[in-house]
Amino acid sequence: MAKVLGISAHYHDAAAALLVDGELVVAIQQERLSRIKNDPGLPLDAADACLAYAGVRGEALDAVVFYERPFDKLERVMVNLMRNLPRTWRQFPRAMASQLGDKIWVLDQLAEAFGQPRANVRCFAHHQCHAASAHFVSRFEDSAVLVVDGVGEHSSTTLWHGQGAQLRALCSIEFPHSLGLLYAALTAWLGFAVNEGEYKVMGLAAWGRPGHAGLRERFERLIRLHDDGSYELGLDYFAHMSDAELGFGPKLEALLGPRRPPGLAWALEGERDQHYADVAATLQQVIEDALLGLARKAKALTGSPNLCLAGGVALNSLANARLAREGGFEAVFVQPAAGDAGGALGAAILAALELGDPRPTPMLSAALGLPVDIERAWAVARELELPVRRVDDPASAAAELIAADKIVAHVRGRFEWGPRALGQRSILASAAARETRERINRLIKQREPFRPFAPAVLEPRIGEYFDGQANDMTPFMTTVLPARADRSDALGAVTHEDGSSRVQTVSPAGAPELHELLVALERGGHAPLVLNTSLNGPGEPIVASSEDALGFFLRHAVDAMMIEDLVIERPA
Amino acid sequence: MSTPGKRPKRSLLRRLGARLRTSGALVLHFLHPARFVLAPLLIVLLFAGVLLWLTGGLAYVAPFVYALF
Amino acid sequence: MSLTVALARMLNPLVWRSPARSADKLHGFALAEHGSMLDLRLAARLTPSPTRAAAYLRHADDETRHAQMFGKRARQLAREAGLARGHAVWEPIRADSEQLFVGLGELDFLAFVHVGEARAIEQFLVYVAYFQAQGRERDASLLTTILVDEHRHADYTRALLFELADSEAAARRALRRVRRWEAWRTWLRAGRFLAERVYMVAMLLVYLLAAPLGLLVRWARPLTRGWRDA
Repeated sequence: MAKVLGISAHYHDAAAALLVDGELVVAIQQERLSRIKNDPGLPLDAADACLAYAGVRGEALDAVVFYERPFDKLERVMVNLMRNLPRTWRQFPRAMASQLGDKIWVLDQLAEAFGQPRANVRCFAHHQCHAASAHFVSRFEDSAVLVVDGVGEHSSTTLWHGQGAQLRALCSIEFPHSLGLLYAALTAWLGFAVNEGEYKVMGLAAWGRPGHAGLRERFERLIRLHDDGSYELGLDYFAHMSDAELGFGPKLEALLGPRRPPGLAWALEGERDQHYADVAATLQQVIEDALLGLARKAKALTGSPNLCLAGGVALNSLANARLAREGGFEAVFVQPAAGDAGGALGAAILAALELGDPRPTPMLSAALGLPVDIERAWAVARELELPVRRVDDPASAAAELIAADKIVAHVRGRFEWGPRALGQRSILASAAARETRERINRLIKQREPFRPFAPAVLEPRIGEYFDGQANDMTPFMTTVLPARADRSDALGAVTHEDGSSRVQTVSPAGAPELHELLVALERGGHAPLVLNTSLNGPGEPIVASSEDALGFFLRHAVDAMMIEDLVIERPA
Repeated sequence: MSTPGKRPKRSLLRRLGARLRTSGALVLHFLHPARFVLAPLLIVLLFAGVLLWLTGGLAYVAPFVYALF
Repeated sequence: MSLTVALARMLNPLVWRSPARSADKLHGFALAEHGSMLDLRLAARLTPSPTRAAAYLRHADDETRHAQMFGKRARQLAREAGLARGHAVWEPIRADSEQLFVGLGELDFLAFVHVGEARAIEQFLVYVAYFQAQGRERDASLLTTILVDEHRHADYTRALLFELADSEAAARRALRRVRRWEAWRTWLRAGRFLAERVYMVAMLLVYLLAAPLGLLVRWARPLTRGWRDA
């Protein structure tokens, strides 16, 4: 029986996760505390917060585990720098400074930070941690595990077979061939920030025509998909071997046209932006085809009826939906923090298993962060002279506000693990009117016009609004379902251009506070359905603490905020 | 919500010892039979490490040196 | 006349000489405001006093607004100057937090913020006068608007500092302490700036000397394609 702290850091999305006696107790992304979006720094604040929440001292830990092998990473970086001489001259001094000045000492830093003997601080391979973070918290006894991201130490794609508490590596595709880096390069070409704009590319895809004007043929030069499920990038078009920021080269601009200037307003009715949407749609189609090939290979190697996905590419909810439909598996699971943050969880599980702990119970809820301090929220709200009051039934109070077409910031329970707001730190509103979407965009999110908002629906009612059933991904918003055309009256604000919705099914175990709210809505004669988007402004991490929430209320024009049983309504 | 922890620093000697052990492990990594052929990369690592260490120290005196010349 | 004012007056024609330089400078201000916002949000979370937490939150809200205002004007100027697409001014405004509240403690944090705001007022007044003399009304009005908030920030941080300190003398000691600390930090930053350049040049020499290793690596580690068994 062990206390194990898992850590991911140094690239993007740093996080800490704490397992006690094999059970996941708390997991926090560093960005929620530092307030720096996708903060890659060593997540000591997040780790301290995990320990404080569980009442565990650093010295009492049985192991601290890092999600990557630093020397293997250094080796790959050096081999790549040397192999691509002289194009890597710009990258060389910076990469060496970052590796030698910081990254290779990470295990020493962790030992010192938590007062641990160095022998208690260990590491596992990046993709092994990803695979563990998916299979071991799924409900599956037997699963094929597919890990797809930019790159770990050497691999960019790996297949695994999970059986009970065992995880066996099967095969891999190595850097520089990488689906994640293909996606990153096109994200940059479309004028979005890499590691942040990937969701925008996915949203844009619905507005485009896949393969239009010979785009599919042009994409065949960027990536070749083989019959055995593997793939190969046309490396001449990319620059990720020599440019850590841009990822694509002049040949790609010659092939697809000039990159889109960042920050320019979108006009999808115009020919120019329609071309960018067509490219996004073709990319989405190619990624889905590639993932289907990989999934079929995984099925052939394992014979398993279940599939687990992990790595940044597994956050592509459209692709996940297609895998669920066409991948040949009975069930598909994607853990809510499938990106690098999830590596912390996988690392902790691997060490706990080695120390003799049992496999964790299946993850039912992503509410793994910290709760808010209600008394503090009350005191600070009063100091800010906000009209704060207490209510006996916060779910009914929130439901009444939403039924009255108010936009409500909902801060209840422990904050979420992963990039999705699932009701604990959400902006909630009526899902019916399209105008609500425009209002949220104008007042708060300032998103590109093509990005969708997601619905949250009571789990048993899903079939009344969507073509499909709840599955292992819907509680975490990692897949999409088609919205029912005959229910467009109830889904105007949450149906995307292609008729899909990234729906969240809400159960008492997954998101109890949001469940109460939806039940209250239904009790009041309304659809048990809300628009659910993350509680953050543009470029900000999702709100974590009561101070963050109040800061959000000061800055953004939501109509009301619920902080547990406190209600703050903005005067009309 | 938690407070960032205040951590007692380890003694310079212990930290130096830890760094030396990690450096040794890094050398062994590149001398492993599976990647023995990459051992010359250790020379690059050595140069880069020494340069980093020297220029890290330079940060304390550089403006002074710059002012002199 | 303080050193800050003298420097600002002397450097005005250089700093604001073109739309491109002005865009750079205002982008820098936007980053500074964003970094300050992060520090204030952290302070709001960590201070034991709800009153001060509320004050820090209001201040953080102002800093967010200032960052947006500076960023917007920087991008307008960058467009006028035709700055390249890869220029930092087009990137989202993202700064790092120095976690000053944790590093300095609340008393010195307040002293630090007060000193920073007071200096900003001095600088901005010089800039406003310069812009008005140059007929750059838009830039003058941007800074004048922000100056109103800066005065409020300088006042409240001073008041809180003297309230929190055991005595007036202790508050003044904190102000002196952070001025010394800032001077040392500026020295180190300048040192780091130079050291980084020395390192870059030296590393490029190492890179050139290591060129033959490129051939070795290509021979020893050819690129792999397709599946590789575990």
